Amino acid sequence: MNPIDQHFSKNLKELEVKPSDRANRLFSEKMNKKHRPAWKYWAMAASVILVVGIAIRVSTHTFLPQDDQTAAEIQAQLPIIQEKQELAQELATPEEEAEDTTLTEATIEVIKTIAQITPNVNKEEEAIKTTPVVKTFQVASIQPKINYKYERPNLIDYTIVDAVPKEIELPKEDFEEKISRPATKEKSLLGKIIKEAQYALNGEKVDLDRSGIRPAVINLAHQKAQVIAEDVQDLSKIKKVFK
Amino acid sequence: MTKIFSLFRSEQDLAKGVIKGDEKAQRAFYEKYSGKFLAICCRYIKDRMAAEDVMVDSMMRIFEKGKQFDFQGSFEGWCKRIVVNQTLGYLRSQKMLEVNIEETYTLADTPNLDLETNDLMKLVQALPSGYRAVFNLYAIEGYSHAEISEMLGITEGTSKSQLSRARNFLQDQLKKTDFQMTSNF
Repeated sequence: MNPIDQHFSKNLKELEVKPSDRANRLFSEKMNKKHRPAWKYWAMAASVILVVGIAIRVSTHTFLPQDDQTAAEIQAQLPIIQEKQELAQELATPEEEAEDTTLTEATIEVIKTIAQITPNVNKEEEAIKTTPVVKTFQVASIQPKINYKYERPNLIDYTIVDAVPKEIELPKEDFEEKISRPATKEKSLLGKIIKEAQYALNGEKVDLDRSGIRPAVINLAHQKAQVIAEDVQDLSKIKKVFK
Repeated sequence: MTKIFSLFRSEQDLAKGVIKGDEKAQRAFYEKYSGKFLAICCRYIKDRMAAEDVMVDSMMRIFEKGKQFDFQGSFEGWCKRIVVNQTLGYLRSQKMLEVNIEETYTLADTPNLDLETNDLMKLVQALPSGYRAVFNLYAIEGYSHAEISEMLGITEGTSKSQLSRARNFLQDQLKKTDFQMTSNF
């Protein structure tokens, strides 16, 4: 063997160089990524979907019947709601009253009498005077045109001052029957999440298997993984072409 | 390090653990061999950070390809070949295997070594990258010119000439170093 080769080989073949902290950290990061258990990803995805579902559900302001409420109690609430609606109608604001253009017979008579009393008045003054002064005379007979804030017929709002809901025709079906009736259609993932959120709000334990969320999430993740694998394959093909 | 290694009675047990994908075995393997593999990378790559990156990548590759080891020969030797291939791949990607005669001979600093080995490492790193690869593969790793020509994509004649030039350079540098050391006294 060449003496130069021998000299260098003898000293450098079994040489060790201590890696820096940076190298050790890099190795640890790669190992942690490699050995992270798969179920953690599914749990994270499921929790994110659950939180999003709860947020969507809370923002819709729908009426949720409580589990401990019987059908009778719910139905008993309905007349109270109707009474509140009637009260809200009676308490229409003055601005809303002024928008009204319909006139009752009584108001028309009043207008005529005013016109008779002041025959020589200017046209402008006449126009002003012939406008119905309904505030002082015929408040009780007015049917104000009220602009309802909410258009959805099923929404029930208890804040009377701000919003006056339309006269809602409540469904005649029995609530108790509706709650106990099993779901016939296959619910979407969002529907399942909302259902589980309801259970959670009522203090029940969340079961991802009962609701079918876990299998649905796993299917979603598999689909995503397939898409990613296909993309990686495509990338490697492109790399080979340019190599 | 010794505490972790004691969990595995022999190198074969460690190798089996690494091949199986056992996290503890893989971490123990890193503790035991990272120094050696980094030294191999430093011999080929001047930049210390790049050498560390290649060493870590080589480790991950060993863990991925472990199942291809057929337990004929040394596991360490098999791993070293993977490290060398990864290093050459890095050099190829950086286009550093082409011999550049005008390349300046700058000496890199390699800490944590005793004086003589540090000087020798510096001399090897001072070689142009093409000569350095051939010299490392032939003189230290023990590959033949036929194998080197296949690995680097050059002819056997080129491999031999580059090795000769590398030796001449190192000899000159060694003479200068000896002269400097004697003149200091």
